[in-house]
Amino acid sequence: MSANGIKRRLQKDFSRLNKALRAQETKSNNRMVLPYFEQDYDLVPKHEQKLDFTQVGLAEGDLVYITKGEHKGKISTLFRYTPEFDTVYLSDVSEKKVVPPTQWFEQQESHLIDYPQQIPRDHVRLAAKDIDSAGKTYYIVADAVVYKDKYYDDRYKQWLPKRFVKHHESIEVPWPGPPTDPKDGELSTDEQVALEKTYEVQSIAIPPVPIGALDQLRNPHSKFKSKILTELDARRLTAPEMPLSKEQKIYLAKKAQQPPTSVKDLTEEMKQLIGEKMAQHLNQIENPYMKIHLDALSKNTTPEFEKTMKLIRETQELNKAEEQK
Amino acid sequence: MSQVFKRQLSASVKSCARNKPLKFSDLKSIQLREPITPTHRNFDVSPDHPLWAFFGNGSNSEHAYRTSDELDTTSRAWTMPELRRKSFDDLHKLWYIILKERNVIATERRLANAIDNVGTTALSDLDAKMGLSHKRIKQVLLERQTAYERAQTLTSDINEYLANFEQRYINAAEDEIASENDKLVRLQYAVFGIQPALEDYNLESDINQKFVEGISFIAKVKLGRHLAQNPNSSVQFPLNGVVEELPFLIRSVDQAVEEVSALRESGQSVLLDKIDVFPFVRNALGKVLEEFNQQSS
Repeated sequence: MSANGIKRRLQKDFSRLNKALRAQETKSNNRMVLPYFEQDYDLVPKHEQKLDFTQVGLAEGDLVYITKGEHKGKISTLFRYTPEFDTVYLSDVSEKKVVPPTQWFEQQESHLIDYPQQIPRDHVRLAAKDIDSAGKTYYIVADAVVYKDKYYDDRYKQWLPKRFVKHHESIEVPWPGPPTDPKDGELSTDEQVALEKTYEVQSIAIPPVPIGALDQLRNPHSKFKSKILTELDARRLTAPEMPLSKEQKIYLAKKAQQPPTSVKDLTEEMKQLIGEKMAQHLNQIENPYMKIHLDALSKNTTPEFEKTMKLIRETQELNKAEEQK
Repeated sequence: MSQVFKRQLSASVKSCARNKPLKFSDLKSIQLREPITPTHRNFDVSPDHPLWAFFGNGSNSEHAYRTSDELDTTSRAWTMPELRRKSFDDLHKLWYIILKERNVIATERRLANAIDNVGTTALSDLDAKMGLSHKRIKQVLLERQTAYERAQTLTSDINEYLANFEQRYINAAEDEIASENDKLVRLQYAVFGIQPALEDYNLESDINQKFVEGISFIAKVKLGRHLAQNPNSSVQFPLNGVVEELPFLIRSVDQAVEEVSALRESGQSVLLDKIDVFPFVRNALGKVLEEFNQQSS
């Protein structure tokens, strides 16, 4: 293993800790840090981060209502969501921060600067602005939103779900436009080139990937895909047999000595007797619904009955075979 | 006396080492030149040097580290639907274009880490986007491969389709046969991987089990139709392996029938061993290709 690999194994991996341990870790990290440099928010492990704004439920440019903390009750515009901390930055919610002189901007004269405050995602709710029939502006705050349908948004160049206020699903809160028009950067590909189609399936006999490249797409040594189990794997997968107690052993030994239960078929006399008894009982029933019910019941076969009949047939066959011998 | 082990250099190094003290015979004759300042400006590096690929602007780079203003922060990663439209070759090229850019970024991050570890956020963000594109390229290729592998298991469906096609082809009316022939050409490529045009054959890689199965299917279908129309034809089923089936792929039905009857009469029609089938097909197709090339030239 490379030195870097060993280093990684020994490093503390934040994303593998659970939430409580992460909080504890943050706390212990903050112990030696000056109060204004403290990390206030829990780092979200990479696999739990929400990278798509439809997962967050808020897009840049949305109005939000703050439900907790110093700024509770304020309505402001969201200008950035940070997936690493699951927090939002709002346009007019800021705090004073201390900056050491080494990190001062040009023309900065004070240690204190106004810096946008990070607010946890849980502490904000989606808000919307509207004008009523009298021409007065009012706000709606959605405690939760639901997604329904999909439409193609030309501003984002992608399919987006429509957003409604939960339990008031006639109220739609449309997605705001993207903050800036997408511009071509140095690394962008031309739209025509990106959309050009150069692949189409025309044959199921020709593999789409050269055989030599396959090992780089799949792990050829994956233990999850190997069809042959090693002895160690087989032993791990086989559950051990539960040891029997002394009493169980005695019970099983006694049971083994007993002759097997044999069931005999009913004789004609017995059938006659049972039939008479049942007919006598059924003739007493006058309620038509009860009769319908019993009729339906008689058509059902119970598994126990089937089992008994099978046992009878088997014992009969055994008896026959013994007689022939 | 006990032996004392000493750490020593290897024998070759010892033999190469100077064994006389260094002496200057005439110190006055040695002329000292002006000292050369050890700086990168004293080196001329060819603009073709491959290590330039590790710098942002190649051989025109002024600095080894780009600040966030010089980086492209607005572009996004390639999406799956976009990548699904691209051929293997395109994806292969794209992979290496992205890899080169990621190498540049890795160089710059390494440099930043060595100095102060400040200002690498923009670089990491850009690298994350490219990493995502890399992962998606792999995912798209795997999707295709999985679909291909699943298609290989649909044998009963494919056989049913082929049987239906055979019936339709044999019973097709005269005015329909042209379109049925077109369908057969598409089908032979779709199911057996036999290219429609002879000049597209790659004799090394294309001739495989499927190809041979395809030849026998085409022969069966074409001869089936021929026999339905001429029950007293000189050639009847069964055909004797690939030697008699191949003419139906490369020639018209009438020519193929003549060729097969000639083969049978001359006694050249033999059932090949499995191991001889591919070389035979390669040879025969190679000859046909040569003829074709001569005619076209």
